[in-house]
Amino acid sequence: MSAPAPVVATGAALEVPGVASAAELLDASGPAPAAEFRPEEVLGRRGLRYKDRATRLALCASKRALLDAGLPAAAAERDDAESFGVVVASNLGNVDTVCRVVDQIRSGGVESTSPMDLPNASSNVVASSVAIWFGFGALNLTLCSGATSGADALHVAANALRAGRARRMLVVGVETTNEPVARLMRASAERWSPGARDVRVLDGAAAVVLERAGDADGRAAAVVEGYGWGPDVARSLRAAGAPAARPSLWLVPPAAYAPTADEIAAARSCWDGAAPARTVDVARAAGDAYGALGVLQCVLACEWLRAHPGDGVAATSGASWGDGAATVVVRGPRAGAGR
Amino acid sequence: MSWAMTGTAMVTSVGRDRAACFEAFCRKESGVSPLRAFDPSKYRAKHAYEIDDRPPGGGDVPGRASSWLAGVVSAALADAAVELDGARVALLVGTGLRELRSLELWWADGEPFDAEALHFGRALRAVVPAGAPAATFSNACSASLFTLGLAADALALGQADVAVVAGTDAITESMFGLLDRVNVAPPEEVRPFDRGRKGVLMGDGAAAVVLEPAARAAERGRAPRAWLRGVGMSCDAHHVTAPHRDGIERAIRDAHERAGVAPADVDLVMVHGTGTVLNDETEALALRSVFGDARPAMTALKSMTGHTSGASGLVGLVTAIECLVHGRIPPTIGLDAPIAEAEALDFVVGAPRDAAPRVAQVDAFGFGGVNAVAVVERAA
Repeated sequence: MSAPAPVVATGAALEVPGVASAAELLDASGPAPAAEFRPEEVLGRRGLRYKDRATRLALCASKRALLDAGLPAAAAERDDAESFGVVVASNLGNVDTVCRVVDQIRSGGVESTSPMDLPNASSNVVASSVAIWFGFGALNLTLCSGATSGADALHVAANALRAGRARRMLVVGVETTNEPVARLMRASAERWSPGARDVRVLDGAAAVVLERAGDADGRAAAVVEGYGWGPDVARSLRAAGAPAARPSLWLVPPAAYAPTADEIAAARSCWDGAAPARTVDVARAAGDAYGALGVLQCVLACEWLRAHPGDGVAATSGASWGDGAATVVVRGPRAGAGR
Repeated sequence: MSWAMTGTAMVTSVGRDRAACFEAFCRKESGVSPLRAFDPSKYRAKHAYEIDDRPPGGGDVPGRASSWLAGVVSAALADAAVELDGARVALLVGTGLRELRSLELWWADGEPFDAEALHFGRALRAVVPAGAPAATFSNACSASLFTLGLAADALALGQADVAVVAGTDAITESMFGLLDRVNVAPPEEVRPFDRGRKGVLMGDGAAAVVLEPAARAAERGRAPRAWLRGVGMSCDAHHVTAPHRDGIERAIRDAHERAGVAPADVDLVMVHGTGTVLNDETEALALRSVFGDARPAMTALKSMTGHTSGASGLVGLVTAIECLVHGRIPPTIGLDAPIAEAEALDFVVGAPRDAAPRVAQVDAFGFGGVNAVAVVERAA
């Protein structure tokens, strides 16, 4: 079987309140400071009123990624609408809406709910809102597969390009935290990793624009080289071909959780003596990105490759909350092929 | 390229398995009943199309969507008589509401729950071999047809040997309540395309299909139940809930192009037909625009199952396959006076129609303008 057709990232950006850049996250040694989120500064004042926080974060990251890719952000300026698709990875996005609406119904009946909450009760509201805002008319997907969702979304988007369902794909990872999410993760920690202290979930989004290598015309920031899923970190590394890629950077899942740290440690022998020079656990600065992690890692990888052209990066997510693990391998474009 | 569908299964409010469902559809049985586990005093609508499997004595139980999913996947695998050991398996689940019902029961009633239970990986580990990751796509009302298309793509790209595609949905208080909130008057039943329709009511349901390359099925001597010719996809990029004719037409034409069929080749359309003012008008106009003078038979299953959210695409597809196999099309119930836009369409009404459809189209259009359309063909 021949290798899958190459897919490249042409734009990458994040929207994490308190974090100014991907470079900052790569170098951070502790939690980012709390900061106010002002979506109107990125998106303008109109159209945000009934959109939930996850949607606003996703819209901001998406706009930044489109501009980074040298593509129009305004729907009216788009000439690629029917061939531009979206994949969103998010597990917790509309948990708060669902819990709030149930409370309203239980206490005051349906009359005490707001019709404006109807779109937010559907878990694909982020993906459809992104499509409407920027004018994306090709396939539109939302992955809620747990901790590997972000990596899985990159793989699904790459497949969509290879299958001719789109020529450009926007991949967005987003999670946000609020009272119901915090309680849910505490309850989950009791079951999965009772030693875990207060779980801190990412409040933020990351976005990547993927295109087929032949369409990138000098805008490629990274080549998506491989994807592999496994029941644990070690098997995902091998399934993705990570050891043979000899990456200089390994992005790992949240090592503050004991079971996850155990899997990372057990996987070190996979590198066969060529362990990556640098390992970064982005959860230390940004919190547990959960379903968004794979996409956030891809943004960080693009940043790393800016300073280390031609290198490889392995990005492993999952291995937490009972889920398996997924690894994505990205590499800097060949000399002269990227920016 | 066609894909062999070697195993299928479904469960709805009118039947616990595929045969029971299809027989019930042909007997014009409706799954509608007064609300079984929600407090009716909190809602204007008092009816839904629920699977009646809760323990006696009232109340609700978590994990029903997961248990139906495991059931239909097991049944489809058994139907396909496929050996999965050593095979690379793509496992995709399409859902509108995943396990949000169980989240509600945890939040409001203290039932046990955790984040992992929101998606279906754990539920499927018991019925598929270890090492086959389950992808959960939460893609509104077209979710399970999207996953069918993605599964076919994965097979075409050589990334898997066999694909298992499923859809499942259990009604949630929050979605039922918000749909109730926006209805002008509460419906008592779903009456797709009828002038007297009042809107949508939700239903419980699940369905699954096993998909293989033709050569693999032939090699193990397994005749497909039907062929998957193609799945078309589009996004309206128009409105968060209202449908858009242009996006729907694009999905239908994409499906025909991928299937290599002309509109005149399609004998049967399982419409999306939710019984809302907006969907039915928009879908009727889109169908007339695509089909022109061609008049495939049409039927709206949601008149008997209610709207089974993300599961509805595959429920429609599994039913379409039964139509191809048995040469019989269940009618649309409650369709007494079609809306003007649908008058020229050939809806099966009154009694099931004996016919010999060869090619069937299945429509699924979801909130946010997410559209997926499948084309299937009779096997021999």
